[in-house]
Amino acid sequence: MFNKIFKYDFKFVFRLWWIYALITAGLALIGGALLRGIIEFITANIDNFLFYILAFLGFFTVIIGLCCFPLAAVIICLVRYYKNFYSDEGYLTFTLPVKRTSLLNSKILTFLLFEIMSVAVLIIDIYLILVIGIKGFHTELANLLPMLLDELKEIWNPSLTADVIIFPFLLLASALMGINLYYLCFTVGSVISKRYKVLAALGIYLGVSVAMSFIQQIISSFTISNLMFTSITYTEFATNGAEFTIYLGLMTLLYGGIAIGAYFINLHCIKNKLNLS
Amino acid sequence: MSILECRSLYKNYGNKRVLENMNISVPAGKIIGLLGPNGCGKSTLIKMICGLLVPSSGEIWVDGMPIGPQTNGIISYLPERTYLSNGMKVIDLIDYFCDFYRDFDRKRAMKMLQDLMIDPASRLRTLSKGTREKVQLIMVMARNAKLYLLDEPIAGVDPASRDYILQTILQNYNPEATVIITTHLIHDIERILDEFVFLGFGGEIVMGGNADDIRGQYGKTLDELFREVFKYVQ
Amino acid sequence: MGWKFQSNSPVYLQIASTIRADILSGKYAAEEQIPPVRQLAYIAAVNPNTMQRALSQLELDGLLYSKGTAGRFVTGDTAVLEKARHNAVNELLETFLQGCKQLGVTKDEVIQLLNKKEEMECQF
Repeated sequence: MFNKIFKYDFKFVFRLWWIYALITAGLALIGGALLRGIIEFITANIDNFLFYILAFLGFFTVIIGLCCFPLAAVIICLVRYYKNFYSDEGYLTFTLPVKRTSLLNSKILTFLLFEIMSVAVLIIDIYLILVIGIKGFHTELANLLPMLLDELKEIWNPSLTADVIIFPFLLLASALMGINLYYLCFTVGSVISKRYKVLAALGIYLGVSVAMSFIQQIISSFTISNLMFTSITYTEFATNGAEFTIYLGLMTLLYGGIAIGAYFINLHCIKNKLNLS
Repeated sequence: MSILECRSLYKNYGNKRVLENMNISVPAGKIIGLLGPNGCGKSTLIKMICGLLVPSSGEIWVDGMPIGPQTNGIISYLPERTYLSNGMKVIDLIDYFCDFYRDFDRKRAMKMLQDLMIDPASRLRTLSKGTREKVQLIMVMARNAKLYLLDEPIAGVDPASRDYILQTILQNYNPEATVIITTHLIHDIERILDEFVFLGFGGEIVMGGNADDIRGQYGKTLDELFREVFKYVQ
Repeated sequence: MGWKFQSNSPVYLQIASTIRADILSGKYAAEEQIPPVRQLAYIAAVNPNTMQRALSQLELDGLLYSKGTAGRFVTGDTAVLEKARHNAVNELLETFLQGCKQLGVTKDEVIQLLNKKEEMECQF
């Protein structure tokens, strides 16, 4: 039954998402063209002031548009969650012959999948902009890459290896934390207040965010207090790398813990505290 | 074997006690009216059987199983409000029901839509409110469920539609299934009932029995009897 | 929707009366099969169990008999039909006479009125 629910969740989000994906691709093409134009004009020493203003504005808009894309994915998933669970549709959803756990898991998986897909599309878009915008981008990259790799080999140490390993887990934990917190806020919002579900949800989320950044501050002050990111150099990073690794590890655990906690509280509410209408 | 059993059922909302020590045993193959004034706990009971609400204490058994996905599979529930997703087309809704409910009869649903001249390709949001309610009723009645729960199916509906709804219930009547109808519009519904239960506040069972025998026993319709019994109830 | 019923007596008895009248009037001929329970219930817009009860009553009265799953048939026994007819007419008469008594109509007045009606209509 999970597969069936997942199919419908995925379809609903995809139907709205692919349009935005296409739009961002279009924006990327435009952005690439604008970038190329700017570069060509600069190299040809053309002095058309108006053109530069418009081109930069255009490029700026493209970048903003691209940044909004992941946000659109988040909003679509949240809308799906809210509508499917806590609007009148909930009367149908929660009387289906499907386990509550499956219903929730499907929503989480959908959110995660579309976050990953959105990032992937974004990376492709940025690549498009660079390829179109910079003449001979590939050759430039081919030249740059060995240089970067050499630098990297110089400063490499075990803690960096650990960082690289931990980092994807950190991302995953962070994503899952966000997803489960958003979902939990909607659930609690609808349990507490029948009329102002969304407002209550927002309020709870703000509260949790503040609490979280507080905890984060405490953790960072213990671990990376002597790593001031504003004035970091490679050498400082290399010698104090272990602390940064610990910081990353603790953050991963923190996010992961919050994600799991939020998940189970949410599940409990969905199973036992449901109160539609 | 009873299709539905409630034992020592209690439901509180905070300090308010909606259902108090309710014990009910419902046999298979009957059309039963759950009748009572507004706020007496009819809808609450129905929602608990569907799993939408959790009892404060007590047990509910449907066909010998506890409430869960297995019981949802044999219960066909018609809530008071429309739960349809307006972006869907009617045919999408039919596919959805076919997907999740093994006992959904696609042909029957299509035929009922045809009788009402509803185009399956039309989007739900383009249909009138009354038509959407009828589509929802068709979805519920096209299932071969063991227990049908119809919560106020004819409230807020015009007389012609009311007749249609009652006819649909009779037409899709399955002698092995039980239909529980909650309503406070007794006059329209009493002729299709086998049995009835008068529910007072706190879910108290004030009276119950065969709907037709009431006329012989009291010389009154169920509607008239109801007015008498609940005359002083606030 | 469906047949109309009075409030003071059980629906199944009223249904039995209606079908009895249909049989006696010849709408359902002797040895003819009547429609199945569900169909009759749908037409009358009543619960099928109620309709079943009504038909069982008529079986008890001997007006109908069932051939297992093949359905129900009107009896061919003319004696039973005649008796039922007789009873039905008597019932009507009883009601009529009760009404007359309430209005204080005498027997002679009744006969007079009946003759007058016959004259006016020529055919009864």
